[in-house]
Amino acid sequence: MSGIRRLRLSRESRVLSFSILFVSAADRDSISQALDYHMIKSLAETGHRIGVLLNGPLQSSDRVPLEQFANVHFVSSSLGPKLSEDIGHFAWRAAQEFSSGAYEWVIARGLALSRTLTGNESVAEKLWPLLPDSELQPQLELGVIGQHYLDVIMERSAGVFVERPEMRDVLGKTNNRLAAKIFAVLYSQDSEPDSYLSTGRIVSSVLNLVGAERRVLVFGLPFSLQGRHPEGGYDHVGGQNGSREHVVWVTDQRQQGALKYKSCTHVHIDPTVVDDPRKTAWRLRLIAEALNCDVVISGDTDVSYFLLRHVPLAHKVWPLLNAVAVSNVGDSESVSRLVAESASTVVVVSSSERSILESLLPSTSGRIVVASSGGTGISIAIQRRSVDYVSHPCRAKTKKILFASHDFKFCGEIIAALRQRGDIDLKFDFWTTQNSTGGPADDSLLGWADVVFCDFASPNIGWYIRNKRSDQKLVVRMHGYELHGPWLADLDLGMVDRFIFVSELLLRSAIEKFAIAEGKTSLIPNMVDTLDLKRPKLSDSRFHIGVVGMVPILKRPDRVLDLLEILSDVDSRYAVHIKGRHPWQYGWVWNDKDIRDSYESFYARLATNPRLFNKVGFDGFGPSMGQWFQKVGWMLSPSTRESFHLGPVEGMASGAVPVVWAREGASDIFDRRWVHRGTEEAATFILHANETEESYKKESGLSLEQVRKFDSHRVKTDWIRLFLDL
Amino acid sequence: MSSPQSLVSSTHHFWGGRSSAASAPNADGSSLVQMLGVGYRSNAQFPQKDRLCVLAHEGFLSELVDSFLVAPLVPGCVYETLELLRPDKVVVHRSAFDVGVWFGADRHESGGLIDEIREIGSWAKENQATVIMVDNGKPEQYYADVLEDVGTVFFPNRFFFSRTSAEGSKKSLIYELCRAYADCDYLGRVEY
Repeated sequence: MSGIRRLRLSRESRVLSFSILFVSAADRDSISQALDYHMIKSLAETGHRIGVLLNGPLQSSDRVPLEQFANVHFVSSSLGPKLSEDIGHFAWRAAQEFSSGAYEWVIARGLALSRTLTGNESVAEKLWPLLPDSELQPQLELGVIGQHYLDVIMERSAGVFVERPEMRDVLGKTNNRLAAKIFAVLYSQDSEPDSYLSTGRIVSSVLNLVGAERRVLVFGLPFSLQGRHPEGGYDHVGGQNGSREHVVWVTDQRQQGALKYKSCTHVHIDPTVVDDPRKTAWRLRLIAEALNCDVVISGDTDVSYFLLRHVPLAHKVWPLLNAVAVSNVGDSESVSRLVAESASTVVVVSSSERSILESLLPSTSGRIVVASSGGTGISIAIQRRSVDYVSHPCRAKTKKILFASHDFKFCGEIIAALRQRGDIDLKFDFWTTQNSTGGPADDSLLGWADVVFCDFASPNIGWYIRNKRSDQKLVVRMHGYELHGPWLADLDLGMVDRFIFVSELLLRSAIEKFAIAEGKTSLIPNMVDTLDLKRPKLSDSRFHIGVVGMVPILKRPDRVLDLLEILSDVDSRYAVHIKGRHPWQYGWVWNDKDIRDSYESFYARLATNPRLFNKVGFDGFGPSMGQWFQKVGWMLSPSTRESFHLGPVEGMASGAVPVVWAREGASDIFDRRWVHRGTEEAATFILHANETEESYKKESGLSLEQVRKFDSHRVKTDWIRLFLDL
Repeated sequence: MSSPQSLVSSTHHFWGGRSSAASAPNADGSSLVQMLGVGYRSNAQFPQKDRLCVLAHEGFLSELVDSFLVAPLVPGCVYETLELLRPDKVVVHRSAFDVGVWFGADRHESGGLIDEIREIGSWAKENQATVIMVDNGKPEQYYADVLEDVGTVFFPNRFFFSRTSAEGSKKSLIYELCRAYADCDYLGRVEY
């Protein structure tokens, strides 16, 4: 393809144009000359203005002479051949040229030249060293000394280009903090992997991405979303002023969109390739890896499938399923199904499609993002779900954390937040029961870890207390039931470095009971995903009362019936929906005659009272809480004891109003307006607040406001800080 | 096509949501049907011979109870109820989806409720029972196709009475009642 053709494409794609000084002090052998030639030509074709400063001649031989490009000019070294060979003098000349003010960036090829240029402060902050494999390899073989040399270059410069993604991974592993500054430009003397994916285009995109906190690659956007903006494309992903994500649009020539925004970069791929999902996925993968993209959104289900097969990238891939793809999820053999099952996050276009997808595949619950009008939902989700190195900058050293528990159901959000980070490595120790004390199946995991996190202070923690090294940190989270277990009294709790509690009440009780040093305690509440749970309510949901869980008996299901009787006397529309398992599904509950009798009396009351029988439904245990909350206007918390009570708090995030029976610690979690002294007071409150639709909406609005303190986006930063600072 | 799942370290399946807890035991086979003492009831001294399992709005339900042996279907134990009581007919009344425990069941937001309604269809097919679907003229919701699959007789129904009503012959009470409660045109359905 000719240079002229490439230039036309560049203008179409509106890649920002930079003035770049390209400096190379490489040996003037044929390979180096070829590499320099490719880089200059590629940058020129992408539309940048290039000043070229070389320490020797550049033979074009049979190639298109670079002089033919109007945007390339050669800068004379004016040092003479001898001084040009001296790196110090040559670097000085480069700095002098840069100080002319004609350039925005400097790309310097060669290790020694780059190292010397980093000594000049004004150059260094605009410097992009281009480090060839042939020079990096020997440096890495020098060990610590070589690494330190490289770290100085990476630390001081704006960013670093290496030839291949593999080398970027090698360099990045030694220093997490600097990893984000390294980009692979697919620099090769042979041929570019794709005529549209040139080195120059990657460099352009990288320079365009400077300052962006998150990079989002978007491919195959459905027209339903494009059409929402007069020029096509998202209004919000990368579009708003102050938006912190930069969108890399990958399209074929037929699609144009969202290009007026400075925070968008447009990368073309060969239109003939787009028809082949495997090849398209391969190119997207190269671009995503080259640009260190944080999220890859693919609107093509087949392409998503192949992207998800590439393990290192899979957790960043967010397939966007359109209405047809969502309906295909019902077919267990469909690609849509495989994609929806595998992706960490699935994007759908509307709230109703989220519900449909959850119905067809309940395991997607909590993993779905609704794009919403103009893509606002995606933008918000990216901010919430992608890694945040602004609040907690990436640390140089990787922290190895071992999660140990018999039940990880409360850890999902924490794990999702931690595993995104480049400075945290996670492994998991799954215990089959909470009561075993003989050690885990694989005790080598302990040796690997810097930190061990035990969710629940169950008897298992004893093994870690006895076996952890003194330099390892042990963190234990208590949920409440442990307070009443006898085993903690026999353990040396002094070996635990930090105790986490989900509520103030629990923290105080544990300190009192186990004489835990207050300085070793942290209060981190349970968290809820407000973005996922806030969904449109069904009309009349304000007459529907939700209860999540009725086991153990301290959850007092009898109070629910008391309340319903009062409410039904006033308005027959009130109904109760109980979600969760029945007591006979827990052997330890059902075998206790005393407790069993209480439950039997509950069911007998339902069975014998027609006023109640038709007003209490059992919705069964399942993951689709967000969907279930759509029909619920009130969430009851009738328990006599709870350390937190996540269900009503999740309900609040949906807009349901919590109704809490007074108990110790209740007002630490819920506003006092929702904590009632008894059933009658609770009923009076509901009837009063529900007098009109407006009065209910007001109460619901307060609920949404109050739940923000438990929002996962906020709480997860507490966890990241905790682990990084240990 | 193989699943990429095996290749992806997609651990979200393991700790995603509350479904991660292990299935619990039920040693003595207790069930909701048993605990609620599910059975037929009637206000009639001499109930009609048809035994009905009913998913209906309160008003319709009480009218049925006045004449028939009726067992209301409760979310959480529909299939078990049908298996235990083996009704002659099942009545599903769409108004029940607007209020009460079956609220929202015909919409995609219903979660698992629609699965229980599907089970009515499965049971009825296995047992060759009649499922009377009584509509109320409400706009179609997402699961209209499921309701069509489940029902075997639909009301409103212009043709069901056409041959006999001209002769002044009365239909059985259950169909008369269903016709009375389905007093609106059903939008968009091909009638029986």
